Amino acid sequence: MIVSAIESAIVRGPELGPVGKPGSTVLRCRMPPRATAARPYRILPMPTRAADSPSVTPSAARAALGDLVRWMTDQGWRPHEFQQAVWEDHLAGGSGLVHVPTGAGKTYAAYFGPLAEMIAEARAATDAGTKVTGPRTLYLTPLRAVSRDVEKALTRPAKELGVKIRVETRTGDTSSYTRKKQRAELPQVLITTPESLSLLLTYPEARERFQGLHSVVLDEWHELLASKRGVQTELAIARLRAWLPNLRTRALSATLSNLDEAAQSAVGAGRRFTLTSARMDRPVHIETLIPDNPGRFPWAGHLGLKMLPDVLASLDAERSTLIFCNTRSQAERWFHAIEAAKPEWRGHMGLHHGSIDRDDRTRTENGLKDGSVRLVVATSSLDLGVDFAPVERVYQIGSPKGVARLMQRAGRASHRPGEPCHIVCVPTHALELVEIAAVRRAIAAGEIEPRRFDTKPLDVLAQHMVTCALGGGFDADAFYAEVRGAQAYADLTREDFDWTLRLVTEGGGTLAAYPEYRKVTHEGEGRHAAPEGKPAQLHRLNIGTITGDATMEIRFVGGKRLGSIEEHFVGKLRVGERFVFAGRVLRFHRAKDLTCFVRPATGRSNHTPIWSGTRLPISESLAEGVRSAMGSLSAGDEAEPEFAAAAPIIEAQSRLSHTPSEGELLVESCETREGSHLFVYPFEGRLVNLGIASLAALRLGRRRPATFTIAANDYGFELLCERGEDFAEWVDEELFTSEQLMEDISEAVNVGELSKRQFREVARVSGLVFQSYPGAHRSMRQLHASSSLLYDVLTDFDPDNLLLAQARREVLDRQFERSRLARTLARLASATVIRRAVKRPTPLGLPLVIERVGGQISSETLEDRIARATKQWEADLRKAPKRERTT
Amino acid sequence: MAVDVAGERIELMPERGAHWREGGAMLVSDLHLGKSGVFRAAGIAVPDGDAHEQLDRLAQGLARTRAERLIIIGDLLHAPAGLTPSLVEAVAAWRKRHTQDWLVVPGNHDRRLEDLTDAWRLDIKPEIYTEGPFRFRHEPAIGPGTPTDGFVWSGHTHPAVRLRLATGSVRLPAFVIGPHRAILPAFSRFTGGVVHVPEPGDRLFAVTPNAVIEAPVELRA
Repeated sequence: MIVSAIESAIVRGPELGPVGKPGSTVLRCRMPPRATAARPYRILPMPTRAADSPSVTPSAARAALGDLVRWMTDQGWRPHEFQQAVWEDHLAGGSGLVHVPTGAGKTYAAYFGPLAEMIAEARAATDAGTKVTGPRTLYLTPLRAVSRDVEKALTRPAKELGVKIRVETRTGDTSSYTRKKQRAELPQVLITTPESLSLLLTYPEARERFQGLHSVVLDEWHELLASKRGVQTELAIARLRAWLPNLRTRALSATLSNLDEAAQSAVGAGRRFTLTSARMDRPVHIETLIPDNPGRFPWAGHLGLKMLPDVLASLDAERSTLIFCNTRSQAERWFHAIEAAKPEWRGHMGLHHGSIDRDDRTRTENGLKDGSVRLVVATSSLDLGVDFAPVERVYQIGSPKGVARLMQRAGRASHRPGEPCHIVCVPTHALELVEIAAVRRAIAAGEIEPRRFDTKPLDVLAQHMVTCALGGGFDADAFYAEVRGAQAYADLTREDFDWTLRLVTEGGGTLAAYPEYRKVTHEGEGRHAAPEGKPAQLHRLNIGTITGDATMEIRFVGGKRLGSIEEHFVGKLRVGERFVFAGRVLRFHRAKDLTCFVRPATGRSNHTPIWSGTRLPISESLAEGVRSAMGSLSAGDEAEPEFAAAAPIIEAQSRLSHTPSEGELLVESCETREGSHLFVYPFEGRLVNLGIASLAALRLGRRRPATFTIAANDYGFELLCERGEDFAEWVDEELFTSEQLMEDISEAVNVGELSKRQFREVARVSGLVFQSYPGAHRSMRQLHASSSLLYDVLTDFDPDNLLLAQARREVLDRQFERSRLARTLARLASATVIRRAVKRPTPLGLPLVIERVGGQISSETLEDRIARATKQWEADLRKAPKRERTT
Repeated sequence: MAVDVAGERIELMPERGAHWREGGAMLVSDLHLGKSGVFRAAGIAVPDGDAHEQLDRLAQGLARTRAERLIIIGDLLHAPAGLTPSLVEAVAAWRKRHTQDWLVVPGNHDRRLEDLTDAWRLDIKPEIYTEGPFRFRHEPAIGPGTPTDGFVWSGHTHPAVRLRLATGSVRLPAFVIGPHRAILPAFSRFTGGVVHVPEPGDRLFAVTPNAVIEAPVELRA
């Protein structure tokens, strides 16, 4: 009976999927309700292929899989159809991607195929009186914090079947003793991160050590995909695949709309893959917390603490609850505020974000599992595969930012099949009501965001080249082919490849080689290698693509580590100053080396660290939804429950200015003491709005010299300039032309500081700057240079350096979402421009005035701007005669 | 931009040096020659060219002021690893074309300075060198209360100033002139800067690409 159900659910065909490569297979399985009682189950006889290891026969692997299935049923779990489909595919030699909701059993779906082979091999070895050595399965996870849970899950089945399989973790946190042991011999199952894998590849004996590996599992692939870490992973696997042509890869992913691309990047360019998905129909139910008197909703802000009383009133201390915030500082503030209002809950509360010490985070996760913690305030650190018991209630404070994101968070609420996922949204200002309604509509229409990919970043390639040169070396031609086997570099030109190779061998990528530079050496006939020594040591210390501001460890004086904190925040603290971190009030004691020492303090504080780069823009799907919702709101639509609450602000906007409907572009101008403001509302997410703002500032500045300060948020942007300079009339379709777009935006990016900021990442990944670390040898200090300094040096002395070009391109791609920017410009060029002169900022404009953070674009010289500023200082000095001039 | 320092007229130059007319000398500090070479030797791809740019700027400043002497207040060099034959040769060749005397007050980075005495025609002075009303030492006197018998010129800290403009802020290298000591900006452009925390009586002069401009001083409460 079961057999026929499975057969009917498996669709095999080469033509499926829009981007599916010929020969790829798509498996769609229905998700049966999770049964608690064990039901009989047997393995389908299907054609199989022997595993790479000579001692494993197909029948032995199949028998081991049968044992694993029996073990599962003994636990009271019934194997799902999709799991069985993946096992079969694996035993038949397939690779691919598994796409099922969180908590559905992905891990065992990917793992039992390789495990069956490992068990069979171990049994054969026992019979023959030999021992299995070396790695068989590589389990890659994006978060090292997760690996402990994974290790437990991967160890259990074989152990309980009485088969000895060595399952070990190797991450940056692994003890040096274990590392040393692993250096001698890798375990059969190695759980690791992309960075640790790359590090293993830097050792000359890497190829030998990975001999015998037959499977790679890529956990949380959707998280890695869209980043340079994903690209780094692809390159590392391409390396392994070059050594082990029959290597099988299985990626695990949550909700995505471009699964084919995701699968292709997991298995490598041009290779066939199997997509396995299980639909689990769990409707998402979104409720919005609307206060009794919505009139008091603020027009701006993102902390949302005004909603605290309403949230407290709806919280139930007896039910496990998760409160998601968008940023770490917001999470700190909410945790602190809830704790202050409900001191009796203190013992059952937890705070979870990426900067809190791992042990504390683990304690919170475990507390949630065993019920001792019932209320957790978290950020996206809990979005990632942290597997914990589902909670009873989920809250989202502030904008949901994206459709998939809110669905994933809602999915944390009680996992009962068929029951809806329920999430309570807490808007922090009135316009977020519109966003929430837009998400609900997008979910209903099935509009989920795709994940965009980083394509051929040369900095990651440069790092990988050094890694491979150290790890046994390479032949340029073969290595070019190998790199193109990674989907991210499938269309890498030989020219770019050779440029990057010159970067690591000669320093300068273009004309002149840098004198005395050496990192990778060309040994003739295309053979490249790297010597051991200081450069190699520096390279190993700095492998990876994760960049952030310089962080400092934060700990109690003479005691416990609390987490990490950004250096520039510490730089601004005065001794004795109080601030909130990890849910505690602390007093700054002193900073030494890379540690910030604190003492516990009492009382309250509103001072929380700000971590940079933590604010996401709203997604393209959501932005479109918001524009449409704004339009229907101004037309008097009341279909969504949020609309009634949002009506007052929309009415105010309409009365003071205008509420744009779809197809309209609203432009407001106003004069204040600060200067002349120009507000434009493309409703396209903060990054794209910022890109358009830079472009507009550049183009306006060409028509008349001026200096603009730019502010942007998810709805629109503001250009501020000197008083009396009204630019509203200048906003026309020509301003948004796509002609000269790349040239203009590149110039705007050059003028602004953005590419300099982006260069930090490029410089770090390509090995131009190194992260300082505690206990660094003194000679390292001579190598200290900030990336912005290097940016200036390169601009002065090697302006054609491709890494500069890459920084500019990344600003365009990532900061401004280039393709989205082009689509937006096309939309704006055909929009009807509505101009309004207003007396003061409107409900749409006020948030921009309040949160003015952004770059400047100027067509004036620095001297002119300082001269102008000097006049202002002199005026200020005249106004404040009491303050003596200090000369 | 000319200022009066301990009764002497000093011109603060946009080349990042100071001209002491009475003493017939141009004052500079923190050239960190060979810094990019130190990076390259460690496998960090930093382009060459910083030394040549500095030598050109020095030549321009010396020609404009007609100073006969250059007083280098420490950190002429960055580290021995960057002292490559080509750099030594390039500076030596430049020294043949420019005949001014080089007086060097050693700084904390100036290891192996004495090896260059002949090639670069260096006149190496003690760590505290006195001339006229001035004392020259690389590191500024520590703490405002340190007793001094003379006005001290120094470098070492690479001072910078943050200027708040109507539309944001910029950070520029700066001269710091106080009642008892002055600090020069780093002459090298391949150096970071530390925003100077003013002490009572300090005046700050920001260096822009084409001028030196006095900046307002904000004393911390």
